[in-house]
Amino acid sequence: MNKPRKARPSSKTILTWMIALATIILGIYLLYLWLPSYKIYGYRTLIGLPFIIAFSCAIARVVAYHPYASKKYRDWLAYTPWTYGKPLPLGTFHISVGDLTGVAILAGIAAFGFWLSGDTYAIQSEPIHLWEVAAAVGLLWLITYLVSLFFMMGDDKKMTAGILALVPLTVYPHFNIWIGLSVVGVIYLLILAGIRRTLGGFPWNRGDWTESPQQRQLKEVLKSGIIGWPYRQIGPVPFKKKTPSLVAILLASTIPAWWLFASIHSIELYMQWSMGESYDQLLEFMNQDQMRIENLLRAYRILALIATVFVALQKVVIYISGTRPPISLLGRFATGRLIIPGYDKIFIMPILIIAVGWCLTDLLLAIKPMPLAVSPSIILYVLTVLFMSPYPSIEKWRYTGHLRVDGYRKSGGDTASKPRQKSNQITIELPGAGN
Amino acid sequence: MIELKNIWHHYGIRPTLRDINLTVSPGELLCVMGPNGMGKSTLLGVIAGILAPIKGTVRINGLTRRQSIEEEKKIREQVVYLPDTPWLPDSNTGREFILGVGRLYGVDEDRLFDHAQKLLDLFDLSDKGDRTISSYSTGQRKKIGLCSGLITDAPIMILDEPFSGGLDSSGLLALQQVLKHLAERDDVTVVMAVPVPELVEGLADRIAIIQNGQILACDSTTGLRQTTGTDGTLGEVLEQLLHPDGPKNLASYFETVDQK
Repeated sequence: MNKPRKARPSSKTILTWMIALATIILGIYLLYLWLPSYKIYGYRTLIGLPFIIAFSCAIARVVAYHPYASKKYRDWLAYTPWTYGKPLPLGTFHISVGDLTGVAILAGIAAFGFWLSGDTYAIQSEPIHLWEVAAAVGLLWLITYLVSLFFMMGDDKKMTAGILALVPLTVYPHFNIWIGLSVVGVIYLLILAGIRRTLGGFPWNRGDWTESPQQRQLKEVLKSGIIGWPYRQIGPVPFKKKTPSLVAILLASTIPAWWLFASIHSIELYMQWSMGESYDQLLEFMNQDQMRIENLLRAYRILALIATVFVALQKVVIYISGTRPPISLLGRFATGRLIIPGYDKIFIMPILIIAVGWCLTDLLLAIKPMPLAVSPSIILYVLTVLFMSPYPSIEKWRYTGHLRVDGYRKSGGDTASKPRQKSNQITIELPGAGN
Repeated sequence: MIELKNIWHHYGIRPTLRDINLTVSPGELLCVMGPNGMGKSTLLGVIAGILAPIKGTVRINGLTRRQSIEEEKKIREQVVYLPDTPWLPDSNTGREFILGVGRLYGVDEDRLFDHAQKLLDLFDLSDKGDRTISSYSTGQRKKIGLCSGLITDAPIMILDEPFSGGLDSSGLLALQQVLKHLAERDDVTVVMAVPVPELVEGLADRIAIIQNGQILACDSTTGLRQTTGTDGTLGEVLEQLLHPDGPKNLASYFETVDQK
């Protein structure tokens, strides 16, 4: 296998880009000096361009150097004696002096553009300082870099959950630049630990080496999408989805609820800060008339109901895709078999989602006083738990459900049973496989 | 062995299968025959596992269909179902397709290639085997579908109308010979739906005649002849069973036509 091309740009390319950037900056400065009516475009370009470049460079920095991002790179690397701890052949994906220099230059350009603009920008009458613009470029680069790096951790679910749980602490209980940066620092360390664990297990496809040729062939067949109706539906195809444990569901469900809680809380704080006294006046205005509060609560109830119905429908779709009920609705009435337990069990959880969602909304509204962010977060938590609850498990449903397997109907053009062409999503469990 | 006990099935209001009780012994070749729309394909679908009956149980080699994950997995390893029109991967070659199906059923690699070539030769697809399926005619598509079912080496084969779908005379003959060979083996059980009696005469161990979702008779051709008291072809025996007033109606029709 040929060695992948080096991701690092050559000195000539870097020089060309620097000359191009310098020309743009000079051009804008000249525009500023000679054509005052167009200078506003010049400032905006000078301020905006570094942000775009910082964002793109941060993604490219990780994607170009981390073996997880490129199949060609990791396949090649798997056949070399490389192990974690040795320098990567195409260069490191960690933050280097070059990165810091590049970000500093971009921050300087943005600050220069801001200085040219005459320091007239402000948010809610709070003036923006020069250093804040420069810091924003650096922060954007850092956050983009961290998010890109986060996706390189692969299938490390525990570490992923831990990091996701920490993110809201950057804004909760209130936004403070030093606390925010400290949390980002901890997240960075956790991502590094996750990356270390993932790369420590490299090469990741070592299971392929221990499986039999027959297992490998079967994997290829399933990946190729060559098998369709009826072999894929009722043939001896290994099942791919695993059922999560109750503890995993209970823990995983806290993350979206926690994010929602922190988000609503931050919005509330932002409104307080941005509206000042008007916010208190708004609350007072709302409290003056019971009708206004009732209208607000009605809107909230409707919103909660729409959300629960949406979640319930999603749950139904998971089960019914590729299947049909054993008997039509008319047939149920005609034969008196209104309930078919072997099939209708898939509706228990969606009905429970709607019922619980609805009752919980009213129950939580009755508890006073309650912070604004609490009620929707609890509802989201309960809905997520119910949505993820494996009753019945997909595997059990597909193998033992009283359903009609929906085959490919030539005339109807039904494509539900056609094999998936996105074959890389298929993972199979094979007895004796190494991974 | 395939055992069906008290099978009832509805799609809508009208029952498609009514209290079907049927046992197919290992190594037996059973033909399901009957008029159109009387439940032949539904019966095969229930045995194959694509339909869960409203009532009753299907047992295959002692394992109950859709009872538990483990049992169902074991059943799926032993049963191959070939519908009238299976889905075929148009952008792949016929050989790739049948090799893929063989691998799915765990056929030994050494045997697989040899078996695939022999099946392609048998169904006159040697030239077409390495071309994409999109270039196949209707009959050739049917043939490659049959090859996919046969390459699995599954001990239980459920074939829905294997003779239909534009098979040419050599294809029909080849399939008859293959089925005859399978019928002579003790380790392969075949259940197939065939609408034309002449194609299976001398081939089937037993014939199950289905009408209005019920099994009207299930016996060997000799047994069916004895039951009906007819010495004619299998078609005539079937006609006697399904439409006993058929000859009388025909005579009456001719009388009317001749009077004109």
